[in-house]
Amino acid sequence: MFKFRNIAGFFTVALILILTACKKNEIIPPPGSSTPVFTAVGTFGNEVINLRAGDDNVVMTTESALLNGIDFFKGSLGNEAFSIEIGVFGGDVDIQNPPLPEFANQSTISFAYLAQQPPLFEIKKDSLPNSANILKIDWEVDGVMQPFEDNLQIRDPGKYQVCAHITFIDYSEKTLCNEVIVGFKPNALFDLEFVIGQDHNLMAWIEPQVGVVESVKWFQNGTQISDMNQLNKYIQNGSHLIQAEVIFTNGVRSLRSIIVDADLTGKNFFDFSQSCAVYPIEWDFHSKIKVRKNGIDYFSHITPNAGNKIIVDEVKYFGLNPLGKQVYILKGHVHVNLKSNASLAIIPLDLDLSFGISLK
Amino acid sequence: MNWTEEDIDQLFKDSANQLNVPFQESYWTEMEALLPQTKKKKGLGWIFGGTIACLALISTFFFPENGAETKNNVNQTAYNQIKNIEKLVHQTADVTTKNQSQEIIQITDKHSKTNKVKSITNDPQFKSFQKLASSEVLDGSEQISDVSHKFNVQENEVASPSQSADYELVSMQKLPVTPIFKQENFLISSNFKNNFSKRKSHSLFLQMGAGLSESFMQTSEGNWMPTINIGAGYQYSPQGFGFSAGLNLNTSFSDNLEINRKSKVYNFGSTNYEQNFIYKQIYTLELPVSVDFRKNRQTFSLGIAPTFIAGSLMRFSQLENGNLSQDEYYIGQKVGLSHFGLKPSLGYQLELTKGWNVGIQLSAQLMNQVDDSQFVGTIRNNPLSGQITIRKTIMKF
Repeated sequence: MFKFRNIAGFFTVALILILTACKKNEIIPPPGSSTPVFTAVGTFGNEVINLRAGDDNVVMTTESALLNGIDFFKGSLGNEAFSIEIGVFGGDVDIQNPPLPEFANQSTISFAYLAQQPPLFEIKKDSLPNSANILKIDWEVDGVMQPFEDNLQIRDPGKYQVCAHITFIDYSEKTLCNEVIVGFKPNALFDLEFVIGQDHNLMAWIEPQVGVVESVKWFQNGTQISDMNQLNKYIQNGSHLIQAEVIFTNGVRSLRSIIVDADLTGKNFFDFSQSCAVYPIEWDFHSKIKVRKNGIDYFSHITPNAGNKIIVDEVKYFGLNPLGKQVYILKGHVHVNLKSNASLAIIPLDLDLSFGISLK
Repeated sequence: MNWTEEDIDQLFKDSANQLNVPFQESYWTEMEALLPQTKKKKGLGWIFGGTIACLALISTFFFPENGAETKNNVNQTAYNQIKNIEKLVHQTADVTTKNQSQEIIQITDKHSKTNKVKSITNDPQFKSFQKLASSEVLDGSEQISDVSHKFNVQENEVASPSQSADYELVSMQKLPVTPIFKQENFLISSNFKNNFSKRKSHSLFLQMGAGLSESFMQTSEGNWMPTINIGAGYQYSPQGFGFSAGLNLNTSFSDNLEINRKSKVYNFGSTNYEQNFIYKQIYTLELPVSVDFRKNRQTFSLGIAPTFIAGSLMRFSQLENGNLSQDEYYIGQKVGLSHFGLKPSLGYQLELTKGWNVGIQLSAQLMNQVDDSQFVGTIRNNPLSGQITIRKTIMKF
């Protein structure tokens, strides 16, 4: 019986070891199948549209881009043959930290529209008060030299950094840069005025039109010289760059620049940020849709869509896109007219959407 | 010298009275021929053993045993040998005279230590039998009680591994009695019978086997998969009905048991996941219990074995959008396999030599072992299997 106990014990221990010694590496099952998340189902003209990200090489891409200096939160759904891009412009673009579109609080989103004429922003050399002292002006917008000498035209909404390369009649050259906002609602408007006397005393001040000024800082050739609302400063001979950083109570921060000629020869240059600006449109938080079909682009903003909107049923957070940007799913319905630049035909787009739009 | 009739009669009488049969070598040869021959141990190579096992198994079907059944479970062969010894003794006694001295042969079972005392003649002719028993020539000594000699009846010689017994010639005494071989209470053979009936019937064994099993999947490429097993168990195997129980580890070598998992997860696009599981080996623990019927060297069994799939060796590969992202072997996975099963079985075993048995076992799985919703192909619900087994008795008690 001693042997029997030994043998029985051996097999018992062996069995336990066999059953427990094999460390099993767990196989992670694949995620369960799901239904398409991003879809666009409807019609484009007479064509039936059924786009589902994940099928037929259809993908949903989202990004927040700067379009003419303005945040443009967009998504694109489609494949090589057909794609739909829906974007929404940011708003309050002159505020330091502009707010994000509040889709959740919006039941509708209007479409941006831009008529082809006249230009949204235009400066003509001949209209300047000291144009006689100016030989020519070369305009540069966001680093790009403009084709029209002396005159500046901006046709698309945006926030631009505009520089004027001025050549005076004595062939002296100066450059003055200012921020120009076109096609979006300003939250603050003001004029920067100045007078320089024979005694080289410079007087400069702010004339607010919209908004309440909170503070002003004055700079001379890059050096702060005053924080009073009005500047009284003796300046030496020569040309001086005078800048005013104006902060409004609503968060608008604006830096305006002028050129002051202390030699009193008329080689001044004024603040052109808004003096010639007109605001026929406001694209803040408006949408723009583009459809690309067989290589041809169709746009919503070049044809009137005053009565059309995106009907928002639900907006919810989805997750981060591969770029790490937050993505929201916008569910709703859209009816909009589209037009290509190459054709006069207007094609209606009618879709039920479950669309991704990326925010910052 | 004139021979009268009386003289001639007296001459025959004297000759008859002086009759003496001298020892002859032929007696020894004759007895030696009656003794069972010791066999050399055979090699235990698998192939040779398997061949022998198969031949032996087949032979049992073509040449079944017949003849008188032994009583009280005494081995027939041993019984016959004892009868032969008795016959020889009786033949020897027939040529002895009535006034010759006689001896007592005391034969004892080493194990039971119970003695049976019998008288046999001390006739010189019987000394040939004494020589057979003691390997010595006994020349009319008055007492040979110190003579002790074994003659062993090997179990392989009597074809029963469990019927080994040693018998000892303890003493021989010359007694002035008549020959006893014709007495009714001559009990040599019955003594053997009693001792054989006390053989060991409980045993522990180790077992190995190999065979084929129907694959779990019905495919055109192959419907059989090889299996091997190893195990141990307990067996109670008297002549007639007995039982056995054990524990086996069975390995099945599969090549068509495959699971394909696919899923499509939609997101900004979609990701197609595909996982392939190919079982290469399946490890099963079996707890066989069976009712056995033993007849001489053959054992028939009817049993049932609860089974438990303990693990597997599986090749796993995963593709994401068609790109191989993982390809490795896993141990212990039981994806898509049912843990428990039940296998009834029919078995046959043949005792080849001391402690070694070969057998064949047929079984069928009653419970579904694979989840037909996961595997590719048509499931075989109740696969049949067959195995040839080799069993070694490691302990008897």
